Amino acid sequence: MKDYQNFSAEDFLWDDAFRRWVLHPNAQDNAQWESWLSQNPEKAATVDRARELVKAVGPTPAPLPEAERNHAIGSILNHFDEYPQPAPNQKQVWFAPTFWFRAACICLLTIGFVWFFAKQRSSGVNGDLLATKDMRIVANTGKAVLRVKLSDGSVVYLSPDSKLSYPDHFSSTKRTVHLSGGAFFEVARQPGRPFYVFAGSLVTKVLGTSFHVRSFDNESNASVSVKTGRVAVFAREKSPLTSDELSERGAVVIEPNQQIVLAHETVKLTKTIVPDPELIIPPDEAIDFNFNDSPVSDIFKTLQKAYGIEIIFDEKTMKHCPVTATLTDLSLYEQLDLVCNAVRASYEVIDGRIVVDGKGCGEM
Amino acid sequence: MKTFNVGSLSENEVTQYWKAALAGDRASFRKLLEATYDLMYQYGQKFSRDQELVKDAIQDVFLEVLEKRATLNGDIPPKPYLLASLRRRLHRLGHRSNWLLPTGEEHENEFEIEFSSEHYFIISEENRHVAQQITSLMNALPARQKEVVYLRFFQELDRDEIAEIMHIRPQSVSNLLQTAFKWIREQWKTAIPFLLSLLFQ
Repeated sequence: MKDYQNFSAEDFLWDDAFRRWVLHPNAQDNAQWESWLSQNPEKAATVDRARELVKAVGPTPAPLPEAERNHAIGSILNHFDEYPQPAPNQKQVWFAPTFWFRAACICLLTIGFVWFFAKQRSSGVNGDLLATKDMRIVANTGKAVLRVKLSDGSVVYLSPDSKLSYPDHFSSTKRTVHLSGGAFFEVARQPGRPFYVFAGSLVTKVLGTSFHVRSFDNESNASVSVKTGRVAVFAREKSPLTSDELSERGAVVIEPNQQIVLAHETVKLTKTIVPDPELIIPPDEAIDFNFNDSPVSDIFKTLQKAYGIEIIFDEKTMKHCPVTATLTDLSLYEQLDLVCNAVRASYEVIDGRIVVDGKGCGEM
Repeated sequence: MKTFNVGSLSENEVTQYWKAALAGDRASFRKLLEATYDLMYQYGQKFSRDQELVKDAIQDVFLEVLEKRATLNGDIPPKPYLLASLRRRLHRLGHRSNWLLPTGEEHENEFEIEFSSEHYFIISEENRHVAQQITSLMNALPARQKEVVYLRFFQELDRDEIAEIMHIRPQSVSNLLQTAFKWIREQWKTAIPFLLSLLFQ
């Protein structure tokens, strides 16, 4: 393997061997790269970013619809017999039209079934999805995330094995979509016209923001996590409610880097912090994570600002603890571990906030 | 060794189908079509937005394969041959329609491609930003450099194959690639040094 020690994510993006590993992985490449990564653990983040870039950067796809493509291939094949056979094969020539006739029948039947069931769904056989005529249903059966643009300008990134139903046009007072599975929403901001996502027994209400919803039928938990803005989440009773008669009592408000988990068994909403909190400060407003003899209370305040997550600590006891630390390029939890260790404190995540417990360092 | 895939089949398998199709096996000819059609359509579209024209050109390419199958080499990978043949044909068709319809689009034959990172959802905002920067730089390249970058990285062809398709010398392929990346790197370094320092240690 060549020397990748000084490769940036952007260098990896154009490296043949790296691209091949990402796009057409095989056992041998996998083993090689994994052993390289275990020898160079500090490159893991760069490689992760580069992997995303390789998958993302490419020609804008404009594929031919499946049916048109098959038709085009079929019409080329129809000419096959017009050309002299170097090694004629009578049996195959005989069989071929039958085969294509059958294939066409199967295609038509499949299309018919899909159409029939899609229609059934949208006309209200499945009570979980709204029953109106102008509803659209998008099911992502592929392996990649599917981008769906809604009439109000909002964008939904639908995960594989997930389904979204939404109207062609939203009503003037509210916007309602139904989700089964997972999706990331970027909701166009429209005050006075809230956006509702119904997902199983979770209802998420927002004005304009971006957030993830995860509600797969076969999983015991459903969750909503926020990237930007604020959203309100509430549990829906089992009875089929529409958003008109929806009780918003018991709504829990969450903010960036917080998430709501709903355990289906207990129908209990728990507010917590996303597993990997991200900085909420835009990159051009960099935060200095180098602390030199700074009171630990200042460090907590900096972290609170950087991640938008409330950190609760006793100001009085903590302001006398000076800490020198470089916290750049660490995750929130690593930063908290380091800082708390330094002042012999501990922390817990309670109700979407971080609560620090420590005796302080005594007056000096 | 090159072991990239064409569609979901390995290059080796496609060459097998190519060989069998030339020998007159209909089922293999169908497999060959299925393995290469999307790639050809994608490439053809970069020369003409006229879907029907592209589809017709692809059909002509394959009919020509059938016509000439006694003389074609079954042992070489078919992709460069098919793409080169499609490119030639589209140029010819483009000229003909221009001649028939003088008011038609001027740039019918210019290689037009748009790179983007929108179809794959990048989770982190920073990385999404980087991907957008890279694609906008790629989009700013001159047409021929774009075509080389496209064939090299997104059709996964090597230098000699690209030379054959674009009908230029292999050395010119290297030069075009080098110029493209030199420019991208320069822009990258001057335009967003801050982002660079933030993201790539």
